[in-house]
Amino acid sequence: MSALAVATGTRRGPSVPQRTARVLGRWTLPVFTAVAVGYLLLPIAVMIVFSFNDPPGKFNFVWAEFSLAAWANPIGRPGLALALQTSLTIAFVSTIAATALGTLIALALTRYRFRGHGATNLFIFIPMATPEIVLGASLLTLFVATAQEPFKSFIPAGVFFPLGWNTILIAHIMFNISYVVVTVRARIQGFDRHLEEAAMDLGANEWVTFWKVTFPLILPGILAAALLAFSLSIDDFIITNFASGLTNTFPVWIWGTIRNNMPPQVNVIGTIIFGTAVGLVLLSTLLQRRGSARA
Amino acid sequence: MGRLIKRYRWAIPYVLMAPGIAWLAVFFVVPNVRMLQMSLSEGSVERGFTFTWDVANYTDNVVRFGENFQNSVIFGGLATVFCFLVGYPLAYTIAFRGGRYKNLLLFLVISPFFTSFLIRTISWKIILGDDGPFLEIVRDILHLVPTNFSVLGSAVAVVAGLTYEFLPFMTLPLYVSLEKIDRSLIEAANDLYASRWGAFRRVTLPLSLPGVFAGSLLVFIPAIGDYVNAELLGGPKTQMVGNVIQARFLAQNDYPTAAALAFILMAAILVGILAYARLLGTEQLTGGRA
Amino acid sequence: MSQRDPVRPLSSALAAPITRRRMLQGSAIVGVSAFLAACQAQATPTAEPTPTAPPATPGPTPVATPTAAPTPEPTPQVPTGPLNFANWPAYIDLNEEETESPTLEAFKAKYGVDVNYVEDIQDNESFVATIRPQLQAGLDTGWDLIVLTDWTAAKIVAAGWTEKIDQANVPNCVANLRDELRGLDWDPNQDYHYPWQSGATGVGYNSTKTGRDLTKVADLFDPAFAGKATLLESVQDTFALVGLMMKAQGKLEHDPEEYTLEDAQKIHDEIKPFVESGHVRGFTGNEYLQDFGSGDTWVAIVWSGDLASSGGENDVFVYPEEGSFIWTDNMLIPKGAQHKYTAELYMNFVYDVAIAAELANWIYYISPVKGAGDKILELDPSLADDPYLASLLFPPPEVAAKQHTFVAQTQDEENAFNDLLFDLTGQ
Repeated sequence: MSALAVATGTRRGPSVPQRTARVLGRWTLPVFTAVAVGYLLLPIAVMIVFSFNDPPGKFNFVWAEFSLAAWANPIGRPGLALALQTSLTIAFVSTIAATALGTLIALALTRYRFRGHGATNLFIFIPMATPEIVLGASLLTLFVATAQEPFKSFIPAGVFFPLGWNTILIAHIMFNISYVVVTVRARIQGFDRHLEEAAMDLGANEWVTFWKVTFPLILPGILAAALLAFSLSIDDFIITNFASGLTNTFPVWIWGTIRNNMPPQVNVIGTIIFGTAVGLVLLSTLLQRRGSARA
Repeated sequence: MGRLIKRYRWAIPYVLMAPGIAWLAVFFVVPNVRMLQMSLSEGSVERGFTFTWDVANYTDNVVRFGENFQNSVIFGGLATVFCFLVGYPLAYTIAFRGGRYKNLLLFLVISPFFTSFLIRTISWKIILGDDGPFLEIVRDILHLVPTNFSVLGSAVAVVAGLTYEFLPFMTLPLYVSLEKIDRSLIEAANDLYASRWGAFRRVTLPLSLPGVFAGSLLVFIPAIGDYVNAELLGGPKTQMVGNVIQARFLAQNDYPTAAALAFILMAAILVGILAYARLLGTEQLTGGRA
Repeated sequence: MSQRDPVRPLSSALAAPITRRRMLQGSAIVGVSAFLAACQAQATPTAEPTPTAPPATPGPTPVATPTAAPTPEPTPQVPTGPLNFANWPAYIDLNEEETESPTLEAFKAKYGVDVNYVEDIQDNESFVATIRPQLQAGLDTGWDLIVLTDWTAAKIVAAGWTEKIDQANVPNCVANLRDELRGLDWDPNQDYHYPWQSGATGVGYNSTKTGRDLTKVADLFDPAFAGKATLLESVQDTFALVGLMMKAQGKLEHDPEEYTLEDAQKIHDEIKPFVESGHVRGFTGNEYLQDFGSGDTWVAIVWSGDLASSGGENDVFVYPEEGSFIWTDNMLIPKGAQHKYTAELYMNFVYDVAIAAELANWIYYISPVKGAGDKILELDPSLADDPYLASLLFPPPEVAAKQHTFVAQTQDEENAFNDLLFDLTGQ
């Protein structure tokens, strides 16, 4: 803001064009920002509004009339409840697994110097630089191959193929690991190693130091990584679609169902997810504020 | 115990990394090796696939699906450019003029992530539909376009969808890199250069390049491989490589063609990233500094 | 199906009155088409063949042998569930709230098993792609009952990917399958399939949007509908209809039964400019219903019953003047199905005349069940005053006279045709 204050300082007698330019200069960015934010929020608004629609046919595309019917029966579509349950359990399990695996890698990368350090960094980066469709397609190629020789003889049917719950979980853990590593690594890089050294000086061994000092310090990073992993998992469609077979997650269910009918329930669930996420963020912000106010 | 740890200290990082790296090895590296093999094979599900070094999968398909590759590169590129054009001023405003609204604005920018991206894309289908609110205003009220004008099914709709979907991926890294810039540098620049534009061009913009680089990659890579936007918002002429890969894998069981296309896509992205990194002179690719 | 079926001129089959013997002589194609021709005459069924098993249907049905007592379950098997049933959209009856299917509920109640009914089939090829790897590997596909169109069903059966139906478990099917649909050369003894419904491919349109009635395939390409037209993502449907249009315009010699690769190329070349110009906004499977729902599609190649059952008020199907394309969708039990017996019970259940009538009268397709037609008219006398709906259930003779089928192709032919289609769809 300081630059702005200087620029709009107290020079006298600006000409009209100059004044126009200045007004423009002052308002262009805020107006642009408002429009851009509106652009970002527009589809969400449409989603919420259309959750109250009562479409005449099977497709909730054109506004007809206000109705609370879908809200009264939010999971009243065949397969929807099961798909939501699958999404939540897979997101939960894959988050825990990926966060554990990823945090260990992040610790190794930030606290140790070892041969292959750079290569590991690159290796972690590559899955994130690979388009989702390639990740999904390659996994499918592997899973399908397990149903044929030579894999068939030692991999029992049902582990990787036919596709289903297992394969979705495998895929989600896989694409989440890198994101966890990067998030946790950023946090560890940011903290003061002297705290650990001090603890060691005071006689704590490595194990105790880790749990008493290091872990609490990097915990916010781990939680942030877990949150990211959870949201990536629950919203993933492209990779999941390759790995899901007959098992539906919520996005896969939407994809399948919108071709035949698009019930307002899709919007209701979307709105509930949105509301829950926003609520959680607000809650955590409030808690943080209260925490920092007390400190 | 302590002595043991000291003696094998060198092994600790490897032990820590082993499970995660093993997971990636089995479910990222092996599948890609398998897909590479598949891309050089011929056959069908019924007859089985035989590895024949069938390079024709690459040479034929890059020609045959040239239009799809072209669509992917153009749409992905345009989406990246538009994300930059919208995201930079947005990030700039939040970083430098956000004031007390900074957190609120950031929150609004990431709020699309709080709901399913499929639902958001469907919302665009509603908005841009022939009977949707957008055309109702532009066509029926403002009469800016002819009566049989459609947005859906066109490249415009696909690029708009991609731009929308990935805008936060551009805005956030830009914001982070802008936020990091030392304000006194900018003030000094404002004193030094005649115009604020000059100051921006010579100081702020160069200092934010890492954000531009990160943001562009975060947009371009998923955008070039996307197929959902082209499927829901596009038409037969706007099909991207992702649509072909998806259809060949899941709807036609034509694995060799799909695998070859996936690798060509990967190669194109890799070349793109390297060229871009050289152009910007940024080498923070992996971001890992121990 | 390695060899192309010998093609017979349809007209000759249709010109003469249809008899069962004639049917058995004819090839699959002729059988299906002729079946259609027989539909109008079905109010007074011709002589019934002796059923090989008594129908289990109780109640007053117009079946020739309704006197047979309801049989107990033929084998002491226990139905297991859930019956995993993959079907096409808009292909099952629904209650008024459109939340559940009365006939499915009745089946569940009767046998005490659950049914997992999923509308997962948008088009034949892409659905088969989801089960082909499992079938090839000898694994359970997860489905107990699937519904595929003639040409695809024939391929699946020929590959040995279907369970053999225990005829003792399906007495209704044995008794009530319409004669015209029996003895098809890809499964002459109904060992592996029983038809679900038959229907036609023709032109669908939203009459409010178009502002006029459509009568021809050529109307799809009326410049007034630029950007509002969709075609089907299936060679059989789209190429057959556009080919019929071209034949009527003198641009093509052959009927769909006789298409060569050259013909397919010509059809492709005819459609291509309309794709390039954006006139054709997309190629769809059954999801054209979505685009009619959103108002984005005005005119399209569609299947006969869908718009009547699941479209908006002004969405209409028309049998085009140039001719239409007729097919039958068939129930199959994929190899390794876990609930084969339940699937058979279900086949038997829907061949009960009353159930068949209830089903057909909701989805507006042509029931393969003898006597279902009479039953429909009995259930819904108002049909007599609604020539449109009646024409969907009972195609009139002038329509049947112009109906065509698609012959089975060799794999190479099929691939070549598909490549032409993929060039149009951009995939």
